[in-house]
Amino acid sequence: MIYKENKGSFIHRVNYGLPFETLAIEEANGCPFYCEYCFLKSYFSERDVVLYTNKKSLFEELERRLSEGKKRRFYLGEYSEPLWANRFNGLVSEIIEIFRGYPEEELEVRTKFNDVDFLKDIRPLKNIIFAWSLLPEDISERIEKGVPSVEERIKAMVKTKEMGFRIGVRLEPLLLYKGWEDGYSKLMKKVSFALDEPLEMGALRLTPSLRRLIYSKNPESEILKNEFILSKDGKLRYPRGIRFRLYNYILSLIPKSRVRIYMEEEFLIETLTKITRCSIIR
Amino acid sequence: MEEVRVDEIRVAEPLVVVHLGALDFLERSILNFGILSPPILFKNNGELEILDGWARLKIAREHSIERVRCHILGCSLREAFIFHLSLNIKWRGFSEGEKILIFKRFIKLGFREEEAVNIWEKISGERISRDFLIECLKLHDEVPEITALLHSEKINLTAAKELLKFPENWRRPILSFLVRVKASAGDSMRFLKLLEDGLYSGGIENIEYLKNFSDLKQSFKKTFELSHPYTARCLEEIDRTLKELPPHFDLRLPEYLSGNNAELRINFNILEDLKIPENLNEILSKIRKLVVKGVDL
Repeated sequence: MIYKENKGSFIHRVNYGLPFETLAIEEANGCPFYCEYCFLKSYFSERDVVLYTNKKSLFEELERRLSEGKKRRFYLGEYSEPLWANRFNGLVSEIIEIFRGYPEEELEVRTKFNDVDFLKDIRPLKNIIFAWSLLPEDISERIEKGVPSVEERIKAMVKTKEMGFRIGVRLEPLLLYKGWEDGYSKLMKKVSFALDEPLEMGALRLTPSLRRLIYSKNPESEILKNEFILSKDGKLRYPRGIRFRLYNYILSLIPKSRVRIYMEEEFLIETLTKITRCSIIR
Repeated sequence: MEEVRVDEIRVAEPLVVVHLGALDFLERSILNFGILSPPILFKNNGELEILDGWARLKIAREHSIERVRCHILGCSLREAFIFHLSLNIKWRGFSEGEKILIFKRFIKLGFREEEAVNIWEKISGERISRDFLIECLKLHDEVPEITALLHSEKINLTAAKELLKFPENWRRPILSFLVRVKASAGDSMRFLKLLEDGLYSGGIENIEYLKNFSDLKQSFKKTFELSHPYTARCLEEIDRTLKELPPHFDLRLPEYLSGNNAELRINFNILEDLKIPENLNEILSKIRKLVVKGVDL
């Protein structure tokens, strides 16, 4: 772990293909876990987790962006594992307190960690959502190294909900692997309590350089053993028919809920909208 | 300028000269008119080394020309190499194969990688990265025949560098396949990308199958089926559905079915006789379904 000053900006525009502006807060960068599909490994030069020491600059920049009042969604967890880093820098708690003053702006804390005890000291807010990235247990054990188990993450979700916070499920990435139908079916049963908020999902996307990196580390990686096509945005995706089947299957597993699909082709979403009982938010 | 005996000059394996070109034209000129432009030599460990004019001296030696008037410079080996590059880049330029030999020569002469990058940039005006240099060196060491193939433009450097993405025991067979089927630079890149997809997905475990192909089109088809089995099945199904249309209709789909747009074309020359088939809408909706929903997994 490295402590250093962030000389650049703390807030960056990100594109999830959502119909509102999305900004990611870089309160730290790097992650202590090793998920085979993670883009962070190819994105940052530092192998260690970097925690920034100039909190004050972060808060000033955040206040400045929030005061623009554009009703945007901010993210924690795009560049780091925020709940894990929070153990060392306590920044999640402090950032939440800043959002208390801006009820129109939303913050999503996206995590795979399970330490939520610090939330006991925080009064819940409507504009904060804690979202857990989840994979089916079997594949998670194989490709998400060092990450709290899916069971532990779900326990943390229950705790967070009981404390009065909004919680969400993120199937990101949605993976195709041997036994995926059974895996997702079990997972969706376990998280059915967490579908008050829209379920958000996106099938696996890889840049060609990340695929090369994954292959160089593990040529037998399960996530590579699929067909990928190169999309117009330069990312590799499962063929459209396979993505359709993945989304359609997940939608069939959940009750009438709100769902958001990331970075997907409009006419695929259109087709899904026509056949699902869920409402796909665009 | 001095008159030097040709057998006193080290012609066989010059230390600084990089030259893969043919000598026929120069040979005819020298035999008709003699050596018009004097070669440049320098002394290295007491021996006369060629800085410029290797081709002229080689021809002179082959035709038993005993003495040649030469310039002799006092400079180090490294200085001579840089001078050789500067002179020749303006005069004749270097092929991609020669460029790889030049990078190798930089390292052999003790230049650090960063120095080689900087000097090459200054001399050629071409910006290169250290990674590019390293890849070229790796290519030289792992696929030695690459320099000759690059020089004769049987493959280009961009495609050649792609070879490094593949397991070592695949590189030479791929290269000989590309040369055998006379793949253009664009075809080579497209083929290597398909092969890369197959390598990572596990659809292509070895490249023995390439031995059976001498035709680019057929080998593309086979490689596509192996690396994109699902999409190949979708395309087969689409082909089957399209057969229900009269022959004048032509549906163009984006490669790998990855884009959003498809285009239905009708052959306008026979438009007067053309009847829109009654089942056109039905067929198009079948195709739309195949494009969006695909086939069963």
